[in-house]
Amino acid sequence: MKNSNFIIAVLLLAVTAGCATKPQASFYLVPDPEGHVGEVTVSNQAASVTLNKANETVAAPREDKAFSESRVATSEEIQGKFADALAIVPPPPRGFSIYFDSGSSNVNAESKPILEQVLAETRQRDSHDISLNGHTDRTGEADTNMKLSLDRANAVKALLVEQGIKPEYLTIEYYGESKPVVPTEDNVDEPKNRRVEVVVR
Amino acid sequence: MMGKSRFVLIVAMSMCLPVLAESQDNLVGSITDIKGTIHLLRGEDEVKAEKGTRLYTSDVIRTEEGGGVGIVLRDDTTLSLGPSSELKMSEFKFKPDEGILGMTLSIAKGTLVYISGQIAKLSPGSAQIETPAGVAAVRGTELLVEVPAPKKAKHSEKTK
Repeated sequence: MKNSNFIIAVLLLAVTAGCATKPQASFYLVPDPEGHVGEVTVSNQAASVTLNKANETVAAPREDKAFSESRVATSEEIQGKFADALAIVPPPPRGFSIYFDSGSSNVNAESKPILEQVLAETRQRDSHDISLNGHTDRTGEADTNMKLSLDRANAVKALLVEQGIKPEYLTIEYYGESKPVVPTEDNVDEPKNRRVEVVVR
Repeated sequence: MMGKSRFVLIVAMSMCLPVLAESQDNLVGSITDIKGTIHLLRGEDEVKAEKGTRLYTSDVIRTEEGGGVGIVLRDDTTLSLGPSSELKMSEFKFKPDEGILGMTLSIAKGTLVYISGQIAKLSPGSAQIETPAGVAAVRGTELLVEVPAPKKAKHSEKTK
């Protein structure tokens, strides 16, 4: 009995001592969803350290104290700390391009299936945040194209709303001919630039 | 005076490209998922937070015990917070055409998962995560940050 009390006391001391030097922040560099490991530089008033290895970690005790030596953490340690946060990471946003007939806000025939994909993606992740960015090529006047790019975004909006997507989930921006995918001279007919870029989040 | 400033405003707006129809200039992102109870603080006010709620610069998100939240930013950065966490959207500038790129997220406590979007990719190092003990400058990657809850108030008073 005495022995076990002693052990508990020692453990408590160890825990308390541990708390006193508990880091105020820990950083873990992990592979991104594509498996790529980037680089992070952590700095404070005392020092600066760069992490560039998978699962490399460093702890900072205070704003004005040097970092711990960096080390590679086990996946158990990472899961232990971050399982809850990792479980709620959103799927990466997905982008689509919908193309239009020249000078018009009619979705071209080849893009109809893309619209179906947008709907499927929206429903699958129950997205409440979809961006529609309208663009044109450089045929016609810039002013007219500004309006046409808005009309195109609104046309896609109408098609999605028709299929049951709530209008408040959709955000429209429009850029006229100012953001071509394929840069051209003025008055060049370029099908790839006549588009609405959709991002489903 | 009013007339003049309004005129300046109209000129400034007409010069402003791209034209933004419904979005606002300080839009940062939106909430994609919520677990348990979370709070969204905007200035002095608490705003209702649900799936799809748009987030703006300076918003603070707090999760309670057992809570969690998933967030996607306008530059495709994806974030999540675990339980008992607090994150501020301190700064967000995403105008790639004009070369204006920058983001600062400040975590006061809890756990954060950060997966780089376009800002960190287009302008390495200009995406930053602030903590009470140091700042992380990210160059295109996934980063996990933990800021343990502060010790009990009485205890920290004594140690000061």
